[in-house]
Amino acid sequence: MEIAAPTGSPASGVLTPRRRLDYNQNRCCAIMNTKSPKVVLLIALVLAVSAALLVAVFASSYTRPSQADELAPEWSDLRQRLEVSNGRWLLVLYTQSEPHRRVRYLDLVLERLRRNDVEAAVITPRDWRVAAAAEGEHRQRGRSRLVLDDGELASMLGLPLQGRDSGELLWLLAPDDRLDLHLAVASFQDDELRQVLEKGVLGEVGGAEGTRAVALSIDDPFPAVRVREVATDDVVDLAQLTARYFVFFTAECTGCSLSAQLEMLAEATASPAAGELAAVFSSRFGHAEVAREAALHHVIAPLYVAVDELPGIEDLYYSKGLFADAVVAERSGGRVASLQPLRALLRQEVVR
Amino acid sequence: MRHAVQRRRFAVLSLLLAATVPVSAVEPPAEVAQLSAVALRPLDLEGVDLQPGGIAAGTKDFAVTDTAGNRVVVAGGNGTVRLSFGSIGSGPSDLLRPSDVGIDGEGSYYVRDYGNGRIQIFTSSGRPKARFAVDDFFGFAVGPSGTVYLGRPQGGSLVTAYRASGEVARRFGSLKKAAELYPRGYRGRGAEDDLLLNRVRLSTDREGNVLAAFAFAPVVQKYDANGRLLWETRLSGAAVEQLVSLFAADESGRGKKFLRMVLDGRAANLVQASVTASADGSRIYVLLANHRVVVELDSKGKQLRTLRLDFESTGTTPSPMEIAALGGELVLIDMFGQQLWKGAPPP
Repeated sequence: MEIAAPTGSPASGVLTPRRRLDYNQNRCCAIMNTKSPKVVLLIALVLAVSAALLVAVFASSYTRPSQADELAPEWSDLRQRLEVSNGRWLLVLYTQSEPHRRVRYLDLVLERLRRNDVEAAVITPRDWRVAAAAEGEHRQRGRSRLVLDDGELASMLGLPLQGRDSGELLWLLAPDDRLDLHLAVASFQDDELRQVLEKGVLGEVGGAEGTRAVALSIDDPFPAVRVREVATDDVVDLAQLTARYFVFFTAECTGCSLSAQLEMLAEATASPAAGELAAVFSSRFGHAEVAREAALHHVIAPLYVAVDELPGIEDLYYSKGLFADAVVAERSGGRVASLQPLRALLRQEVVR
Repeated sequence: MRHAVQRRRFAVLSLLLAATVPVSAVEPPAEVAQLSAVALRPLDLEGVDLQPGGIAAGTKDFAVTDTAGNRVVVAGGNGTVRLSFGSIGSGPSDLLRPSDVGIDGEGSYYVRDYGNGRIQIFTSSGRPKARFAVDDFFGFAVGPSGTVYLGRPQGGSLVTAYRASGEVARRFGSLKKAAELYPRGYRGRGAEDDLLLNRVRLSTDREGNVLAAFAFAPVVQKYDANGRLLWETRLSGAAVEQLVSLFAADESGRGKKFLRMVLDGRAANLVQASVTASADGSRIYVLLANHRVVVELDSKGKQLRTLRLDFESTGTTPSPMEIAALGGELVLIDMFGQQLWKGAPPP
């Protein structure tokens, strides 16, 4: 819109009423054909003033996208607002969806990076749902912070206001306030946040590979994790549950294959003998999502969502399950007695 | 102004959204079991963990994009990794969710940098060379001379050819109506079909000819490098006919949804998943959606045979979506199993 300004310039507006229009002549000729020198001078003067005005208006209102990108917010103000001191890496993620999961994941990444000079903040527009949940989040606050924004930070960062656009934006600020990385997508994958941090902070994606998790084996101690029961919302230790078989569901991307996996689970739990089976979903799945899908597929087994990472089952840092498929682990004497894919279990009818 | 810039970026990203969704399995017709088979085995890239998005073959190597790892991996036919380049970001050498890839005659790599809304060009050693911004397209190929072909029916033609500078070199390929693609069985939805039915998968052969396979109809075309139509052929056979009837029935609101391609604000059953030419240009392979079947054509467009893809058992059911020909072998991407496969067509 601003780019179009010159074509509707004040100059043509001045000339038009005074001259007899001849659309076959250009503007130069129209001026030269005017007989009175005073008129010529007057027109020239008006033209000069108009041009100056036009330049001033244009320069103030139009900025090329690349220049706009360089119009960084006052990062020091942002650091102050987020209570992050200078000399530290700062990852800022602006999101309108799943802010708590983002905070948990960034905590996990920062812990695994083993660097003390990195902080992360997830900024999300304040609304009642987020605000209510945020209290609990702050009680067990890790290194990443969840910031509920009333619009001040969005304005500081030059962001679209809530409801007008969807999408997530990410900035990685170096300790010297240099903008190391700036990305915008509809929704980031967790693993992309890892890559951004590794690339910026460690200088190499995959730089923390030494910490890669090892998959569970037979005779290993059975995973000791806290899980939240979907039906009651109670948090219990897995060790307290009496089931013999545990089906663990991980996800490369939340929700992608949940429906297909639950179909298999429903089949496996269709028989009354399936009482020895419980299903545990990665913490990457939402509680409501599991409940909804389970009801949809008529799954009758007790369902749990992990509160923490499932050791030996998934590597949340890399957002990966350590088994190619949903895995069924048999527990005996507190150890892993057997491991097999869910679909193999269906074929062998072990549970039934 | 910053708001405007951000909004523009979101708009570009949303335009680029296209996804494939497996909904339910449809068994191929019984005739498929009787076809000659290509025995496929997993192709491991020295343990490199990647989420393959697009594939292109050069003379000795092939390049595959790692959509999750934001990089391109170049490997030989035996899986030996020769090169890996790119990392997450929006800078000159960075990638964000790369998808399609192509290789020109000099060995330069052309990558659809999906998340950044641009085409990135890298030298044969993986150094950034050039880039240009693009908006919505479906169908990507690179000619030996470095011309980039994008399927953009919204431009009024099937294909738009770009120079490496991003300048439009030419547009070619007449848009088709439903009645032309589906002489019987599917009447079309009028203007709603204009874009969807003219979405094509693209490939080039070593002479620079452009192959266009309609994603939602069993029609394949070959153009020369100047955009002149050389031939058009309509595939036949039981597998093809089943896919056509599934598409048409679903579009008419009666049929089963199976492998859905989300494009142009609609989801429709895919018919042709991918197309490629053999290294010597004498054969063209069209990968059909869902059925694990490849149709082989000669360079003149004559349908020679239909081949069944036999995947070595891994406990999963692969859904190949991308195909490339390297030497005498076919390399395929199972998009959902995130696995590469390779095998040679029988003589």
